[in-house]
This record gives sequence, structure tokens and C-alpha cells, in this order.
Amino acid sequence: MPAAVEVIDLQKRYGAVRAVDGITFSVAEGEVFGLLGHNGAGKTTTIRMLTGRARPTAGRAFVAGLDAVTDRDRVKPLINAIFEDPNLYDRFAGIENLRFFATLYGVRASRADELLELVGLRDAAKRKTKSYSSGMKQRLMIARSLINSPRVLFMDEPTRGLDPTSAREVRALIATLAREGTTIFLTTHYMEEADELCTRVAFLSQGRIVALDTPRELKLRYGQRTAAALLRDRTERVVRLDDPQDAATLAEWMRADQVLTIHSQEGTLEDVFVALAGRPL
Amino acid sequence: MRLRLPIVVAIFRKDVVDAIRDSRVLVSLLTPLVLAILYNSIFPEERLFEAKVAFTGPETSALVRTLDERAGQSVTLKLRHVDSEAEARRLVASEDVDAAFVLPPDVDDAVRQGRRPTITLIQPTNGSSAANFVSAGLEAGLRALSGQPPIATVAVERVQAGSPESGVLGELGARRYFVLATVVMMLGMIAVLAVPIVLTEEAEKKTLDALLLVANYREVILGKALVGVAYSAASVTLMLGLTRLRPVDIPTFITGTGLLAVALIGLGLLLGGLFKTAGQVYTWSSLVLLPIIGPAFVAGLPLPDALDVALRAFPTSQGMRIMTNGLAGKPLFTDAWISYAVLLVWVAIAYGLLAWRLARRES
Repeated sequence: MPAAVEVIDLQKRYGAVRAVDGITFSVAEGEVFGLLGHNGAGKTTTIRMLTGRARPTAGRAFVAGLDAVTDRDRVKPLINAIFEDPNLYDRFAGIENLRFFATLYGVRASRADELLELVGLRDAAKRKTKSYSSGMKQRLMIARSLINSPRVLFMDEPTRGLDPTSAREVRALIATLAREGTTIFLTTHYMEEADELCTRVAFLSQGRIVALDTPRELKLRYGQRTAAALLRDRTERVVRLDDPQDAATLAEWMRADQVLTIHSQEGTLEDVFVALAGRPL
Repeated sequence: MRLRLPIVVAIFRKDVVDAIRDSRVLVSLLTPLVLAILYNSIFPEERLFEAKVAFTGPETSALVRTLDERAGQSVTLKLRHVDSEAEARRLVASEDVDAAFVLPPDVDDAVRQGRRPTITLIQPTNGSSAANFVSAGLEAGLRALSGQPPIATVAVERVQAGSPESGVLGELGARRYFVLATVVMMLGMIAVLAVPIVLTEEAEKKTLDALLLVANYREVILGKALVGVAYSAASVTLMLGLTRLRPVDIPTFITGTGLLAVALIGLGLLLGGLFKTAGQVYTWSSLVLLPIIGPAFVAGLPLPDALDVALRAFPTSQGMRIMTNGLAGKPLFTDAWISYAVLLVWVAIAYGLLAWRLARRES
């Protein structure tokens, strides 16, 4: 089975600026792949090239086994995207927005009603989208992105600017889509989001991939192996798991029933990113 | 790159609805419409003269019909049937009518049988144009009724007096001229204001990103251009209906209007690509509108030669010329081929540049 997304030495230059500087990776069918990086790291440019909205300066990109440049018209029906900023027709109702795209993709109009139900907007279907909250707009954009049942769904900062409740709802929707087999290509600033949703993540810095692996492997590789133990005397002690002396001390506390709680302190993706890119997101 | 008609039609239908919900577009459509209605009410209907004529005798006489037919579009003939000669005389005396005539009861048969009936023409002592018109009309009617051929054929030849186009405003009439200029203004506002707003807003609100996931640039641009064409066609039809303008030479009028609309829409699409926000379009297009609309309003006015030649380079000036000829049904503006050529050049320039920009964008 071909990879859902395959990128080989992809480059995009704007004059002297190398927005994307020779990246290579592949995303398997059904995977949730995260592309993380600062603003201007090249995430959105990468998505633009993969969705046929920008032509690469060099390198090749394949989506669903098709060349994203030369087979652009054949790729389009197989993909969809959610954008960083809400981009709905705000003088149209929610249902009108979806039906318009249903017509463009040549799918039945009733698909729009089904998707509104899926994202919990059935009651707001006939309201103009300019009256929607940020969370509602985001959910409607998710519904729109599913109108053609895409094999690969590109999501550019899908929870940016949302309140915690709305963000949680959107993450739940993404998780549902992933469980149902949609390949998801995600960019995000939120490391916890990537950690929660992604099977693998790539860190992009100045147009280059500086690390690519599962969140767990990255944390293990770049994080510290430590644990924080809360003792009966209410003091918290940090022990290094790869230090034999600390390990013996911890074992002693355990034997003496001194330990109330113990928490591993593996690194976070944020720590990994800081270690690799030099500054936090 | 493929051009998929269902996608173009979907974009067109969406934009037709979306544009009308945008107050800025609505204003650009309504302003010229209101102006045209205003011109229509300010300038009176142009007629050579109005003749109010009373008559007594058979209402269905062929002579009455002949008079009516001779009036045509140049004379507003208001015929009024009265019961008696005395009543007709009284109406002329009181100046309620300009003239009156009395037909014997069997006038048509009497003429056909050569019985030489008497028809009385009643006119004010100082005479009237209406009486002359009736007199001439009755004479022609009587000849026709008696089967006499005309004793001579009068050939009418018109000689252009003054500069060739100085009389366009006079010949077409102020009402028709200015309403027509407002039609051009409407085409300009749709093309240079409404169409760029529809296009720029798509980029400004980033809905274009979503659209381009399924459509390509050519389909999007064609959809927008069709919106301009549809609004132009509907607006011109509505305006002509509201102002009761009836083009005599409909094919010429439609060709001129269509060519001008297509050229202006091309320019509008180019203009849309220059701005980042619909607000900018709204602000700056107002300035662009002046040189676009202005030449149409002065196309039929006497101008200094240098200015006249310069203005003829503008599409609206040439569009106005073709449309004027179509409206009048005769070549009030000569050298129509130059007008067509100039418009075609504008169409080629606008869409050539558009194609070049699309090709660049797609690469």
C-alpha cells in the first residue's frame, strides 16, 4: 500500500528565502502525523504544496500515491484541509456553506446535513456563520473538510484561538476521524495536542526537519530519566533513574515505607523542541 | 488545466447570491438605477410636437386610421371623438384642442364612389401646426381611399449640418442620451466595483484557499466573470424597462452592450487582483470609475478635437457610441467599425493580461 503522503527533498524558495529547505518524510495510511514548528518554520508552506496550492521549487511530493504537482486535479478529490483562520462564507448559513462545497465536490446535498449532525451544529444550521462562535466556526470547518470523505485531511492549527472546551471538542473530533481511518496531517503550536493526537511528529525549524519520531521516542531520547518522590516528611526528592546511587536510595525509601507518591519526570515534547530548536514554541 | 463547467456554475450561483447580500455591491447596483430613474423624470419625453385633435363623424373611418399611422413616433397625436360639429368648434375656440375636423357620415364610401364629400377642417384663426398635420394627413388619406396614386414622389434627403456628431444629443434627446449614459455607468460600476469586491473578498477572507482545494484559478475567475455578465444583463434589462427605452436596432445595441460589459469585467478582474481587501476596492475603484464612466457621458457632446480623440480610446466612449446607434436605429455616430475595433482591443488586452497573471499564479 502506498504511503498516504510521501515527501522527497521538498523545497520552496521565495527569492532568497528558503521557506522549506529539502524535507523528506512519509505518512502511512491512517496515521496522525504532526508537523511542529515556530511561526515561519515552513509548516503552512508545506501544506500548501501538498494540497496543490503552491508549486515546489524542487523535490517531489506524493499524496495518495499521486504526484501533488503533476496530478493536482486527481489529488484534489482525495484530500481536504482545515485552515489556520476561519474561512467561511459569513453571509451564508452553516448549511449553505456546506451545500456549496457539496456541489463543488459533486456529492449529495444530504451529506451536508449528516456532517452538521456529526459536529453538533444541526440546531445552528440556518444561522449565518458570522453569528457563530469561534468553536462553532471551527467545527463547521471540520464538517466542510469531511464533505468529500477525504483520504488525507490536512489540518493547519485546528485549535488555535479556541477556548479550552471548544479545543477539547475539536481534538475529540480529530481522534474520532483518526479511529475511522482518515489519514491526518496536523500542524500545531500546542505540544500537548500533538502528544495526545499524533502517532508521529516532525519538528520543523527554519524549513528543515530536525527530528521525526513518535512522541514517546522523542521524549525518551531527548528528555531526562528522572522521578519525583514525595516522602512522608512532605519533602519532594528528585532521583535520576539511570544513576545506580539514586536507584539504591529510592529502593531504600521504598523499603522503609517513606514514599507517599512517585511520578516519573520524562521530558515533554516542549522540552524536546526547546532542546532541538533552541527556543520554545 | 481542465475547466469543469459544474464547478464554474456552482461558483457563479454562489456569488450571485452572496454579492446581492453585500451592501457595497447592492449600492453599486442601485445607484445608477436611481440615477436613471431620476434622469427619466427630469428630462421630458422628446417629441416633435403634440397635436390634440377633435373630430366628429365615423370613428372607424380609414381617414382617422391614416392620421394615426402618420403620427408615428414623431408626433403625439391625441384624437378625441365628439358628437357634433358645434362641440368640435367649441373645443377649438376654447383651445382645448389644436384643431378639429368634421367627417360626413358615409365619408369612406363617398370618396370611393367619387361623390366628392366635404370635409371641414376647423382651426384657430392664427393657424396651428396640428391643423397643417391634419390637413396633410387627410389629403394623403383621401388619395389612398380614392385609389389615386401619388402625383409625385418626394425624396427626403438629410444633410448633416455642423460637425458630424454635434447633433447626437439633440437628435437622440436629452432623456434618452443621459439614461443611456447611466446604463454605461451601471456597467462600469458592476465591472469595476462589484466584480472586484466579489473577487477580492474571496482572497481577503481566505475562502479562496478552501475553494482552490477543489477548483482551479481559471474556474474561479470564470465564475466571477459570469456573475458580472449576469448582473450586467439583468441590470440593463431592468433599467431599459423602468425608463421605457426601446432600442430600435436591438442586435447592435446588444452587441455594443455585451462587448463593453465583457471588456469592463476583464478590467475589473484585473483590478481585483491589485487589492488586498474589499474595503480598498471600494475606496479606490471610485477613483477608477471617473475616467471609466466620464467618456460615456460626453461622447455625444461637442468637444475640442484633441480631447475628443483622446476620449475615443476609452472603452466606455466607444461602447456608448455603438449603444447610441443601436438605440436610435441609425448611425448617429459614424465609423462604427472603429468603435468595435477599440472594444475588441480592450477585451484582448484585459483578458490577455488576466491569462498571463493566472499562468504566473498557477506556476
